[in-house]
Amino acid sequence: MDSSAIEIKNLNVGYNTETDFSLIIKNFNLSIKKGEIFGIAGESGSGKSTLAQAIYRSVKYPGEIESGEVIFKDKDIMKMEANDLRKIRATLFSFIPQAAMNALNPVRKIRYQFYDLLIAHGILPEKNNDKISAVLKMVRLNESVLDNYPHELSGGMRQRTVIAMSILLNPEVVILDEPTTGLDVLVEHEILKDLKNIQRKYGITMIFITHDLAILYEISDRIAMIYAGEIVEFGARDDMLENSTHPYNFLLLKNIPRIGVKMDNIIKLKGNPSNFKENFPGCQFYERCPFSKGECSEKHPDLREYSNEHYYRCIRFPEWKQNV
Amino acid sequence: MNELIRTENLTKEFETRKGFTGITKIKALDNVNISLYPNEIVGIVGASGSGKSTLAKILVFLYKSTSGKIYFKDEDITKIHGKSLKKYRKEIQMVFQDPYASLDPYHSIEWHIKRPLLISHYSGNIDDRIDELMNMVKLTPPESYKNKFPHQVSGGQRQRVYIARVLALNPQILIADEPVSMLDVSLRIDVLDLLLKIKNELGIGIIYITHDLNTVSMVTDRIYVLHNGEVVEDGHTNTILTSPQDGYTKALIEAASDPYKRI
Repeated sequence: MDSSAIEIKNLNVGYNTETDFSLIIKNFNLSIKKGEIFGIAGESGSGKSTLAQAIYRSVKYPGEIESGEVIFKDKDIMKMEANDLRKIRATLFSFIPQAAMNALNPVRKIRYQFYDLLIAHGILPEKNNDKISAVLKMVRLNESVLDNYPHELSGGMRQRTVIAMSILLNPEVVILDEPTTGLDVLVEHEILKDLKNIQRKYGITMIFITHDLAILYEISDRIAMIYAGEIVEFGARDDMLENSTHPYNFLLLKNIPRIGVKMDNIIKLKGNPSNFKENFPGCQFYERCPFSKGECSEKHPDLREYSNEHYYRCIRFPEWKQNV
Repeated sequence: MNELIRTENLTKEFETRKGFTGITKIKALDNVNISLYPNEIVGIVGASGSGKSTLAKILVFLYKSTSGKIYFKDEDITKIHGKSLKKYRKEIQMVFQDPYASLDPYHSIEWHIKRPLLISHYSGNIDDRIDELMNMVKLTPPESYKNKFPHQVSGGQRQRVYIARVLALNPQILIADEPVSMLDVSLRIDVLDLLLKIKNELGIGIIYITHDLNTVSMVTDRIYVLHNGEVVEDGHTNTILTSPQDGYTKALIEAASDPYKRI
């Protein structure tokens, strides 16, 4: 298909344990359109970071990609030669992992870290100073940071530096894993606004992964909600917000602290996240779901279409909505 | 009722060295006046570097203030030390941001709650008190959690263990420094609810420190907005959030995340 930037087909990713192999991402299918901000939401342990690493094929042992395809520009990333993969990384396709702002080399000035990136891709750095200035301008950093060491910059500035590096070679797709976690509210808000501006201006496809639902709904065009390694609901942002079809999405939205919401108006979500249940035949959300019934524990729900490009994985919909 | 704790022109300066001889002073707190009454939750709001954690550390005597006074129940405690400081520290307890770092991974949950009771020579039955505390923070049934280790429970439960631990000594003041910012969305509400419950049932005063105006709006009665070490605005939470006067408060409100907003 022409309109999709990345297609994930039947992806299975898991972790080797001492005795066994436990599957985290199960039979994952997703197609991400060109030029959109695709948000992936999930609580800790839901497998969202594993998914991000799998798309970039940077899962490290004990993690392992068991099977599946990730189609990018008519090629399967999972089957690419290591050398070809290295060529497209950062140039066509870049990834900002979690806490990337701490990944800058502490004993090298920012300028030379930009140069390293260019040299690694066979580009002469001295001729590309303009390019570096241009990306710094995009993330609204002063050029003087080039002569600073990472410890001289604040967290927000380092995060901006990393974002600048990731877009230096004009990639078509950028994956951001928790890009603003650990930053101050004001800085977070500014960075999100800048990211969106850059994305809209240059038509970059962004995959935005976070546990913070509120900012995800603020920035994304489409959202996938992940629970225990599976998509439980996905669709356009407005549909997800106004017409939740899965109780998990519905309850999380009700659980977000917001200005002007009183504690009494909140429907609490019981239980704890990351309860992976292996070989459980029913719905993974069964135990925490206040609307669940006996049948939910027996049959694993399929992904069904609710309306145009809005999917959900719940056998009790639309019945449960009447019990709210 | 009188204030539990009150500060008068509290100022804290940090010294930083520049070069060989130069010393610059940075004002982390500048003439801060706050007060806390029993049975209320007061929010201290500000972005990073605004001095909110410095204020907390001065109140629990982890830092010494440069000038200004602290009153505990109308008694000047600015210069207390030795035995009276030890006594004061029983009355004021602090909950930290990261429940993954504040518990000892080598010890069971029971050990964590027992420890302060042993150290303070608790006179009653220690086992009963542990059960009571665990029920208080909703780690129920207590038996199923006692022998677990911190890594076996979720972040929200760890934060509860820590809260049970600080409540063991019956403090009158609790300082919570970003207690929910490291937790998952579905667990945050529970911990906030617990803070409200502690306030209502035990009647203690809570100072809630955060940069997140969303959670502040849900639990606090009054707030102080801190900016560069100065209180720029204070008053009832609802009044400030609906009609902020200061530009900084307005910026914070605008930056507060909300799924119904669009960037």
